[in-house]
Amino acid sequence: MERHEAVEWLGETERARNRTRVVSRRVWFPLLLFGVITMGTVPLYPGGPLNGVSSSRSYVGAFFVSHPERLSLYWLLASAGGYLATALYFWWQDRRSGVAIRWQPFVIVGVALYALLIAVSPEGLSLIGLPWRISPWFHVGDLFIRGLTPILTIALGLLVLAAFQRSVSFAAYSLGFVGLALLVNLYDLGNITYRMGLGDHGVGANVVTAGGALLLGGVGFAVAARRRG
Amino acid sequence: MSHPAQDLDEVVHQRNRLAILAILGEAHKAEFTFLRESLDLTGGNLSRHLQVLEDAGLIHIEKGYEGRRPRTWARITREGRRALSRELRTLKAVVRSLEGSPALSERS
Repeated sequence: MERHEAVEWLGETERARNRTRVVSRRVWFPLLLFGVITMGTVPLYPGGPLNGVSSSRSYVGAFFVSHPERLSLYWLLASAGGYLATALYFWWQDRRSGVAIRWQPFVIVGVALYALLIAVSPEGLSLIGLPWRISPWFHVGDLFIRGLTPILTIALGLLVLAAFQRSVSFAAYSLGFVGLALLVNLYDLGNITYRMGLGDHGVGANVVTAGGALLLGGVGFAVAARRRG
Repeated sequence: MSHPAQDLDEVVHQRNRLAILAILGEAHKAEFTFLRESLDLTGGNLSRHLQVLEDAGLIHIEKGYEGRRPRTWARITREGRRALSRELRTLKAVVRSLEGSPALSERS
């Protein structure tokens, strides 16, 4: 084989790969959808510093939310709808474009983590016949205080999707988002802004930041896919 | 020392079959029509290449129906991924080994 031939073949292979990548780029959809879903919870979280403890609790935690049942119901219905819409969109795109991507793990991991979240709540444990008193064993540290665990389930689902996408940029984004989800769940951005002298903007600030990151990511990946297409 | 071109695999070392593997390497699976249009091949030609790759265990073919429409999907196997990266490595080695050779400089 001659050099010019090898160069030509390598070029053709790269072009074929690029064409396929362009056609199969559709991660913007779940990012935008879950960004909108997350932003929809903003009115349900307190906007100022945390004070008082709610008398009732929910599977998402949310000890400081005045109506945790509403928050739980919203997250449950919106997430179920979000995963269903994502599955339908990816399924339709697979058939329309003729290039299928591995999207199923995103939906499976998201739904499984969500089911686990509900199962280890006091109500969930009662439902499956286990004493609710063991629920603190599962509710590790600060993870459940702010009621932001659904954001962590979205982040871990995206990380799994990235593992199957073979896209460095999406993998980097997903890792960053998992970091943000852990930060808002375990530390609270309010603590950071307070230390910086910018005041405590409450749990709502965490939700706006996470939702904003999802929306921005969705727009960014959609624009990138359009440009390359 | 042997020339890197001696490591080329006969099954993969064919323009269209290499491109098929490259496309399948980027997706979970690809449909027959997408492959045919992307590679600008006739249906019969593509079928023959897919058959060669499947016989070598480099891809897996799924045939089915969507409504009344027949659909054929191809998926790369683990061995197929290995063969693809081997071939690409060898091609790059060929390019490197012949870099700066006078005959090639004349050609370019």
